Amino acid sequence: MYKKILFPTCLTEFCGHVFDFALRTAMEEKAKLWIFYGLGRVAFPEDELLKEIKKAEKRVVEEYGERMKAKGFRDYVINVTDGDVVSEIVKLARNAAIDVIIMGTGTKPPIVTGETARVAPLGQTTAQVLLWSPCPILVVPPSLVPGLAR
Amino acid sequence: MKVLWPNDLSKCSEGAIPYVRSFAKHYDAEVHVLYVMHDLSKHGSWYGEFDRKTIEKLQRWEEKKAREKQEQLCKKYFEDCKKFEKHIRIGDPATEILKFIEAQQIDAVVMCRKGEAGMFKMGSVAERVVRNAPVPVVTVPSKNGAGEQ
Repeated sequence: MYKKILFPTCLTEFCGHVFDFALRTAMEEKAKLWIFYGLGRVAFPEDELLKEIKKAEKRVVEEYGERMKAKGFRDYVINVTDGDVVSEIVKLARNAAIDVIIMGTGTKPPIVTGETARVAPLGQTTAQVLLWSPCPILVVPPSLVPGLAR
Repeated sequence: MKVLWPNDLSKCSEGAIPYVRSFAKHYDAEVHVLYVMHDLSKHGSWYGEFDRKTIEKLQRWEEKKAREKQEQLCKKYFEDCKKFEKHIRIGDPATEILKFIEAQQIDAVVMCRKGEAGMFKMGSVAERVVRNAPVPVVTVPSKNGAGEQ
């Protein structure tokens, strides 16, 4: 169904839960997983920027590498760039002909207080990517996160 | 697995059909097709008082047309699916979709990013469903969407 999945992350705890969902989907679908981390708009000199990108790549590997290795998943690409995060996600989705982007509703851990409680509004990045994405987006709600299940 | 395809029976919302079909095929899922009609009786009497009977007649006419259109769509696209169900509800579309998800224990929602009245990049119904749904929602960009220009 999906052959190329893009998972943009900001390496927060909630993103980790969404990553598990993305990884499971990628394994079920036998799809290639793009993990994207955006540095945002930074004004570093080129050599320093390269260092920052390397550092960020290392952080992504530290965060998700082990989990993928444990499940024997190897078909992934880590993409770290600077620049406006939303534009970079949309650009990557278009250039790599991504089939689906998997994102959480936001990055802050949501607070759920009861059955009918609704969670905080969509995060800025998700809301903007929803508007501009050239491909379908699968938004994972906080209620799918272990401990917050319905 | 249960997949919900909420739609407003417009060309735009049909953009989600390939994704609904692939969900159904891949996960052997039940497809639920939902159309929500506006509750005309809740409208204020902006242009003078309407006769109650006229409103009921209009509502019945809309329901009949919606059933016909749903029938056509399901016959055309979901005939080969294991199981599909058609539903019509009356009320506020986003609220009814969210209620339906809870009531039917839906596992995933696939919907178009904007509906027929979509002069904005994202429809208000899609936005409210994405914000509040307790299950994953796949939003599909419409063919003339900004993201595809």
